[in-house]
Parts: sequence; structure tokens; C-alpha cells
Amino acid sequence: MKEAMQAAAGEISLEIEQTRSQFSFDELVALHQQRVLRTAYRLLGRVEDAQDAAQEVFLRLLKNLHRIEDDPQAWLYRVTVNICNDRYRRRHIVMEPALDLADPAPNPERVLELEERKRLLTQGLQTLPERERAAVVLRDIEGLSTREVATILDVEEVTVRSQISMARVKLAKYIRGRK
Amino acid sequence: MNCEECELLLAQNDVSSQVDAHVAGCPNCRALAAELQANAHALRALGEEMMPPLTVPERGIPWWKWTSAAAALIITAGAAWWASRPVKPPQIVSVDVKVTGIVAQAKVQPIPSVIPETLTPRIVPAVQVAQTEPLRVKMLTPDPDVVIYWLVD
Repeated sequence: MKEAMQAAAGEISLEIEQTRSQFSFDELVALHQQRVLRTAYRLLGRVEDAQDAAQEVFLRLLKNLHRIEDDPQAWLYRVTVNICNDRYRRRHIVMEPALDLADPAPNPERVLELEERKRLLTQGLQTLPERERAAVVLRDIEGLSTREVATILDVEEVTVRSQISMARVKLAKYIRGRK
Repeated sequence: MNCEECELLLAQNDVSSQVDAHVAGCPNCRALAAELQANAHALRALGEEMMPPLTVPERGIPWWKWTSAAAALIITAGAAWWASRPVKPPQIVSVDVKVTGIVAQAKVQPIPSVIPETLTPRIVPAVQVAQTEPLRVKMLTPDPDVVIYWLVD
């Protein structure tokens, strides 16, 4: 993975920097890839965009690996949110059907209802302001604590609570309006 | 408590008696509470989904590198061919003979060489000069930078 990312970025001299870090790049990619991809997908709403954003996140990780001293998870979430917000502002919004990632389950009706709600939530997330979207993705989808979200987004906890509450209400109303 | 306040408190999972009282008498907030609960479950489910693995695009060599390499190859090959080509002897197109010494008037024998016969002067005029200098034959070639001089003692 590292070699491929280096080749993709044209970066050759990063090997030296990595050796100074306590973290292995490949291990970090393996450990956090799903979180980064999922967060990017929920923030951007498109799989290709999420892939591109995740690649950018891990390229930045590769470049900054020697500087990361604490748990890189918060750093990765922060960079993911920033990159996704930048990309979200730049791009023309085109919604795509929600990715069918669910496992088959025994109750078809409830599964259908859940899948429909997930699809609507995926769409509804794209209608939120970027700070509310980031807060609710990190808190409700990624399951981080309010404090962790506040650290990642560099805001007060009370601000995060407020953003999450407003986002939840907006999502609920969005889904009610489409039933 | 109005609906707006109740909605935000519901979204914060507030279970105070005031909220309960409002929800009990407000169908809109009751419906919203049900939506919020269902959404919380669905959002958690979104967090458990597996994404397709990260793909790294294979980036080929950019077009400008290919064209630069091709141009460099062509230039190098051209320079090598130019340097190795057989050098042709200069072709003489005219001959200008100037006699600067004391020479009796005489016919100049045709020079058996590559010089065209038409360019060989038949009569060389004798010119009186103070000092004897060698006979100078100037031959012009198609290349203006190449002039051949013969100095005949």
C-alpha cells in the first residue's frame, strides 16, 4: 500500500521520514481504512469521492507520519473531515443511490425499512451544513464521544451538542418529508 | 415549551417530565421522537457497514514525459547522424588568380584537377610590383565560408 501511494504521489523520499515514526504506515492504513472511507462516504455521499478523499488522507498521513505523536485516529478523522469539507465545497453535488453494503437479514420487511431509512439518511446528510454534517457523522455514525468530536472539529463540546441536536432534528424532518 | 424547544431536547435524548408532557399532547413531536429513535438505530447501522477497500489508481507516465523522451531521442539520433555523415570535399565554383610577382606573360597550363576547365583562367596578366610575392590562387566554393587559397612560390 505504501509503495503504491508513494508511486501515486510521486513521493520517493518519505521512507526516511517514516522510520522516525513510532507508527507503521501500512498498519495505520489497515487499521483506519474503513473508518476513513466510511466517514468520507457519509460526508460526501459518493463512493468515488470517498475513495479519492481517503487516498488524499493517507497521502497526508504518509507525509506527516513523523509528526504524529498521539493516537493518529483523531488526526485521521480531523484530516478526513477537512478534506471532505474542501471537496464538498468545490464539487457540483450529484447524489447517487446509497451503497448497498448491508448483510442479508432474516426479516425482509424490517430490513427493507432499515435500508430505506439508511438510504434517506445518506441523502439527508448531504443537505446539512458542513459542521453539522461532520458532527453527526462522527458522533452518531462513527460512535465517537462528544469530547472526541469537539477535539477533532476544534470546537467546544457545547457547540458539538448543539450541532448534533440540530442535525438530528433536520434529518428526522427530512425523512418525514419523504415518506 | 414550544415544539422547537421540544425537538432540540428530544434530539439530545432529554427525558425530562416537561418533554414527556409536551410529547404526550403534541402529535408532531411524538412523530418526530419516533423518527429520531429510528434514525439513531439506522445511523449506528451505517457506522457498521463495510466499505469497499481503498484502491490506489495506477498512474501511468504523464504524456509530457513520453513526448519529452521521444523528442530527446530524435534530437540525439539526428545529431549522431549529422556528426557521422561523410564529409564532401568543397566544390570549387570559381577561380580567381592574382599574380603579385614579376611573371612573364604566358599561358597558364590547365590544371588537371577537379577545377572545372571553364573556370581556369587562360591568360594571366603580368603585373609589376615592388616585391616578389607568391602567386595566389583563390577558389570559391558554394559555401561562402569556405575559400581555398593556393600560394605558389
